[in-house]
Amino acid sequence: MDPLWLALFIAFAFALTALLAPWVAPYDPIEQNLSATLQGPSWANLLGTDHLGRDILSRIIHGARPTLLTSSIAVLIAGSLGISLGMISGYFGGLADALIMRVMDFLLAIPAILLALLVIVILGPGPSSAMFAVAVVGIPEFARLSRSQILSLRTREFVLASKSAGASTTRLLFRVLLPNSAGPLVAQAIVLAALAVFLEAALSFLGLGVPPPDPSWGQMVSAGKSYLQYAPGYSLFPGVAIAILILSLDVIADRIRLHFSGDENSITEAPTKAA
Amino acid sequence: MFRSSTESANHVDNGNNSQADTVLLSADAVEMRFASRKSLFSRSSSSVVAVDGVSFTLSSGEALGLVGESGCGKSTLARISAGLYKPTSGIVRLDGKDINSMSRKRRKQFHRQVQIVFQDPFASLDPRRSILEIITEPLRIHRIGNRKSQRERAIDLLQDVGLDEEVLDRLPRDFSGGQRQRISIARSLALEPAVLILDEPVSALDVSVQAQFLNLLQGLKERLNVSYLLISHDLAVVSLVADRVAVMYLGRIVEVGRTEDIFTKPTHPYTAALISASPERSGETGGAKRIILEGDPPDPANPPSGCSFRTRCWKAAEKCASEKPMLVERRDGQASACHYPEL
Amino acid sequence: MLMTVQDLSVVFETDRGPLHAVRGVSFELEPGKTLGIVGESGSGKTALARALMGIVKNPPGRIAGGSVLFEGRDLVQLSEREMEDVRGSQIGFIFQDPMVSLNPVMRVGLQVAEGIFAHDSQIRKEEVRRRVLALFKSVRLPNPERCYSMYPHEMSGGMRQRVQIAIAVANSPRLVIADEPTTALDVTVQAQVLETLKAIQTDSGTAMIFISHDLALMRTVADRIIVMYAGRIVEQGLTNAVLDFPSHPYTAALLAAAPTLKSRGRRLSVIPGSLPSPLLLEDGCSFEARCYLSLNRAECGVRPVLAEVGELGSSSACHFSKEVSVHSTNFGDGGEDVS
Repeated sequence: MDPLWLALFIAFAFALTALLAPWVAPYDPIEQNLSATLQGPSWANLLGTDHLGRDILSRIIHGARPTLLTSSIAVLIAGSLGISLGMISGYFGGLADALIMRVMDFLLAIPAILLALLVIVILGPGPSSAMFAVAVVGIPEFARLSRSQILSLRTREFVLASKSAGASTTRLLFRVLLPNSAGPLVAQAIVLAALAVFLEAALSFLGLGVPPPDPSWGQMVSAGKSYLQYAPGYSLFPGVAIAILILSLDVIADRIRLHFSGDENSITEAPTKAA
Repeated sequence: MFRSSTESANHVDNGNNSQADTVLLSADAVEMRFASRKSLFSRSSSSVVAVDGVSFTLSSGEALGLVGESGCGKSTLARISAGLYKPTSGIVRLDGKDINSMSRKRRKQFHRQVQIVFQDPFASLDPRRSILEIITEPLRIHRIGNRKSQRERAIDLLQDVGLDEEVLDRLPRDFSGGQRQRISIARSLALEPAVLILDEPVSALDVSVQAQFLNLLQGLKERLNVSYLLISHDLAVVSLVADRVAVMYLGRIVEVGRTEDIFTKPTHPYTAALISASPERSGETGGAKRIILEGDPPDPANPPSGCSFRTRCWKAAEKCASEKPMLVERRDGQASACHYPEL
Repeated sequence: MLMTVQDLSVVFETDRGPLHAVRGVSFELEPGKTLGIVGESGSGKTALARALMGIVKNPPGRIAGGSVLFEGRDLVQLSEREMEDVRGSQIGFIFQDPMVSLNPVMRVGLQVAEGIFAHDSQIRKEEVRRRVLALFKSVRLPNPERCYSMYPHEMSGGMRQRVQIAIAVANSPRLVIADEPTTALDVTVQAQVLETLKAIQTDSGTAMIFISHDLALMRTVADRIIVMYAGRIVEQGLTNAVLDFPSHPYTAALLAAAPTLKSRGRRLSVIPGSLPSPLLLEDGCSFEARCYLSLNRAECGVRPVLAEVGELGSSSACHFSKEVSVHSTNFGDGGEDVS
């Protein structure tokens, strides 16, 4: 079977469960049951319980929420900011371009986690800081991508044609250039979403994301590491969830990129029939 | 009419005084300089002069051909005339007004009057838009009509170019090169421009498709009284459509005159060489000797001193290296820039 | 006979079915002569050129039948290894865009040297260099010493094409196949390059197959020409005979559709309609739908066979070749388009 379908299914299932968490989860994620701590998988608790007797499955389901929230908002912020900066840079060039790109280069030079941590240090820990941290990590790549798209498209004849028909700069940017750059940008959005899942988990793992007792995947992995010997599921299950989601998102991103680069070629491909 | 940049603003008589031809579009000593770094490591930037002091006038109902080989600056000149580039010096005028010092509003009006069709049929149409959207975009930009009237206008335009209504809802990728060029023309006619600039419109097309397209151009010119600025490297294409022809070499106009005159009695050696090199030569006129130029076209970043053609010209003499020839009228309506013209 | 092509067919497998690019093409080439292959896009001339060079991309393309006899061997039957021996030593190639066929990161002198070395591994370095410089001189490259160490992008289009010619003739092949060699060049440069090609040919007695879409160009280049349409030969013969007295309606229409320096103000004749889909193998004449001569006559339902016609030695695949005249006035009307 085409792995794309599996990936799409997983991504949608994830989003759905995150949205409908309270109705899907079998238990209250923060309800403790100290008489049944660190249980392995059983009929009562499909994935077992953690060190406070809380149902791991329910915590994973609820833990999808901060992940979903952080990735979506981070992608939204990084996307709108990054793409706008890239468009300005690519279309107008000159000083603006030089300035913007130097800043982007600077951000890109810092490893993602370090950069995220830097933002957290400035903003203080918490779920909203995590969002901004991931957004900041994501902006430069969007900027670079949209800039290169704009650069390659702005001298194409159909853009010049619109310009020669009297189109204003705004119109050119938003109605002509942006839609034609959409493909790789959408793929990048998904790639960033996958990165966001990872970063959010990492930040939560370090205790800088969602504070307890609200569940988040990274935090669960972190908490579970003390019990790896006799209750490996505690760390393992949320870890697997993280991995599967990131993998699925990457597969989707890859496909989108492939699809759009194929489209690109068809613009220059000449059909064989005459007239 | 063409004149060198140092002559005064006088018409060179084209011998056709029947009516006062209104000059629509004109260029006055237009120069376009592009800065280019010599190499990755050099700090200094040399400049390439793509268009070197060109002046012309285009009158209503007239078709002016611009011929030359690659690097002569004709495409750049076309884009400058369409208002897509701002020349580094010189003025382009529409109805006597400088287009680059127009207000935003007035500039938009300019674009209504002057439209351009490009060479590459596969890059001239927005791949994501339907044909309807592409053709009506100029109308929407200038807020002409409503959806319904715009669609009707699109249908009329398609008919003018010989395409069917059902084309409207499809995407560019469904069409061949020849059809796309027609769509490009349909779009450029949407605003009923007075001037149509065509930048190598048929170079990418097969001969049989080219024929249809050229017939279309001639028909449109007669019916709609549109003026053409037709750019091509193909002499035969230009000679079919144009009333007057200007020959360019390395950014300058080297010869200009009526089409028949240029191709039967060229006065500039480059023109003669171009004609001789064209596979489809003048045909029956025997005695046109085979001219093979020596050497390669010069580097626009490093043009020869004096006459830029002298490095390949069989007549080159001392004067050619020291003095740049100006456009001088030779015969009635025909001018060339050469110290030793063929007369 | 230097080369005899017999019934050559090239098919491309696509997801919409087999695409018949070349359908049973046959011709002969004498030593030292130039054969022009003319056709528009979709005529199959490129696929034919590739088949002759043995570079049909497989998959999706393949030689579906026929033979290419060259110096006694059938090139179609040769293995890739054997074909490599032939290429560059017995048959030279010149392509349309030298920017694409020359290695951009290697100096041109070395590229020519490589070609020589590939077929003579014993040769000494100094000897190779001497030969390359001699070649550069024979292709009229100015300052061969300097050119030797230039990269392709440092040269002009005309110069690059000359380098390609040098590579093609480096090992004195008996045949050079040139695929649209001057299409990407300026007209004056084209004239120069063609002069060079002719000079080389006359000096070394090399035969040439010259592929182009430009009918008029053939007059100065080819001794005989082949006109292709929809994968088949529709007319062939001596160049001037075919161009002055065409005996196939497609040739005539093509000649009438080309603008000349004297066609000012006149409407060009147009070939209405478009190429038939190469996915179909229809029964009748493939040109019928666009033919001004057919007039729906029943004979056109049967595919015409290439047959000798007239006294000039031309052959044409048309039932009504005798009625073809380049001065015919009732060609297709202009403007109507079948979208």
